[in-house]
Amino acid sequence: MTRYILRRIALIVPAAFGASLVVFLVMRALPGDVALTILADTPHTVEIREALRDELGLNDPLHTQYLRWVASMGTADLGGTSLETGEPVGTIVGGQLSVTALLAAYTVAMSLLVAVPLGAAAAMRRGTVLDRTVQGVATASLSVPTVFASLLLVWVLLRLFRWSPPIIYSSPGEDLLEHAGIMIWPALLLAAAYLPHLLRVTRARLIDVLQSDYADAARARGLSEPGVLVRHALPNAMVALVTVAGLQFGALVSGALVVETVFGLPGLGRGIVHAALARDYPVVQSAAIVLVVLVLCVNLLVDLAYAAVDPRVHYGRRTA
Amino acid sequence: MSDAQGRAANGMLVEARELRVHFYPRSGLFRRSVVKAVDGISLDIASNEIVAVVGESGSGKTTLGRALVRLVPITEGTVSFAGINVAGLEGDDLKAYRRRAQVVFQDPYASNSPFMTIGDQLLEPLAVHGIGDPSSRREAVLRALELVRLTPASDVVDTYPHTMSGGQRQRVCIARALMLEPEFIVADEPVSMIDASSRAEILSLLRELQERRGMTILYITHDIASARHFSDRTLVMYLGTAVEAGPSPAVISEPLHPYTQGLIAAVPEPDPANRHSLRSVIPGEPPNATAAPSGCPFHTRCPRAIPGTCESVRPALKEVRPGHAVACHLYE
Repeated sequence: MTRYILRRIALIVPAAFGASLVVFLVMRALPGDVALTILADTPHTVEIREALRDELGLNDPLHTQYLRWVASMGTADLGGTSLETGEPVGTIVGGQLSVTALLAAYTVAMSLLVAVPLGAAAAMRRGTVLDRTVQGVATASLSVPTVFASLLLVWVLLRLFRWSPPIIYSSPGEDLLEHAGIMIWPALLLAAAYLPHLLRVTRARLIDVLQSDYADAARARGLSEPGVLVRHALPNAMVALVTVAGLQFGALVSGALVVETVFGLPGLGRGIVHAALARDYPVVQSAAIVLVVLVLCVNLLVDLAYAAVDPRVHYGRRTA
Repeated sequence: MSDAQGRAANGMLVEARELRVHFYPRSGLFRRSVVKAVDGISLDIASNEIVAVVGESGSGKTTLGRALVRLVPITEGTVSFAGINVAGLEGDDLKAYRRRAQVVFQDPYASNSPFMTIGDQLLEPLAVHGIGDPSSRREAVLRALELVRLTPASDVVDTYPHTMSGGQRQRVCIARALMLEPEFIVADEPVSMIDASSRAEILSLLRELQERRGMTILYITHDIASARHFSDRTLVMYLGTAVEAGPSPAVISEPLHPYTQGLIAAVPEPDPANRHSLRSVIPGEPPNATAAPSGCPFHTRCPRAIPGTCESVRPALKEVRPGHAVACHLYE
């Protein structure tokens, strides 16, 4: 098991390298550069711009730039300093990651807490008004683009409730209530796109298992319907649930990019959008790699969760 | 009327009367299709008796078995179990009935929860019914595993079903059905999905348990040859109706109904000299279950159908020899 985990962690390295090349090249392919951003508000000559580019290392050959970035990925700076502000990338991305990770954690927790009981209720009352309502709402919620839902929500909060989310982000350590007030709306929006997947897979899997012979066998020995659900059907549905929860995590992260921008949260998503517009190469590159590693780690956790839920799954050496 | 052991006065444990189980697979505003999976079956099973139910796929034999243990709702008719009407049981009464009537399913791969150890699966019936305390339950589990010869029992309790073969899993299912010490077991094709080499073993295990514990078994099978060796009486089903019933040796060596005759003719004979001889088979497929034929349900495939009679009048099950009944116009 330990060997398996170590091997999987080792495999993250080449994946991250591949991603780093793609991100690096895509960024260079974009027109414009950070020198234009920095000098945007000052009258300047072409010579001044070129001098700034030299100073920032933008005129070095591509492979030199790439190697310099990769080499500094290993340091605390995590990819050098921001071309725009001169701050170490590690500080910028680290702060942003904590915001995005919290947002994702709230979304996943909220979704699981709602999707599992609701999916179970729908599965047990299959075909009833409750089931159809739950299914309909889930499909509708899944079909609304997050951008549209975000803007609509902000408009509703402003026009109807004369309330807007606080502008300044507070971490849970600073002011928990303020933090909750800021995070609840973005988390709800993300859950609106994430939760339906979990709900649908829970419902479908439970319906399947509740019709299986071993569910009938459990009924035959006198187990009540809730007993069959909790003891036999839910453990089985967990496997599918964990799979979908993991697969959709990538989509959740890209949704975070949108809601962070709309709600002004200082997370990785907004950070990456801002840095990309400014062509702040090191920040974009490092932030992208952090996201890639985050998603890969979640996938690893999902695979480890299989072994925890399903006795048929073993990693590493078999004992039986 | 029942005595101290809960047996009806006439010695019958299970008495089904005009049992019907209908399914409505598609219900719309204008169309309503009906599958009459069990369509008016009457069946008596005496205590300590093994009754076989034989028929093709789709004949309703599995549904009949499931209805008797109340796993599918009974549409019409009565099932009396030791004097209790099973069809209307609910709540605690149904739970009490489950203690007395158990079931072994066809597919041993699908009827064990893959997420529970063998020990936990066997413990569950005892826990659900609140029988014994944790240590006595564990002992009961070990005893049951030894009874079905899954040894060493102390190792088997902690394994998961996926480490076992089909035959072993089926023995787990039998052990699980026995945990509550039921009087009646419905064995739904218990050997059809396991290796030929394990079949005889499983059947002789069931027979031994039946003899030792005085159980009553409804043995559902499509293998009419095994019915002869295993059961006391045989009921032949076709499209939800009983076409022939009687003592197993009589039904199998002197079948009366053309359908039963066809089923028996289709059994391969273990004689190499016959390998090239053509065996007569029943022509065609069973009709669509949502559109059962008029009259005798078998007339569309019957080689001896009487024109003018069989397609319009449904024959009733009549005793034509002692204990041997047939539903066929040829015997009227």
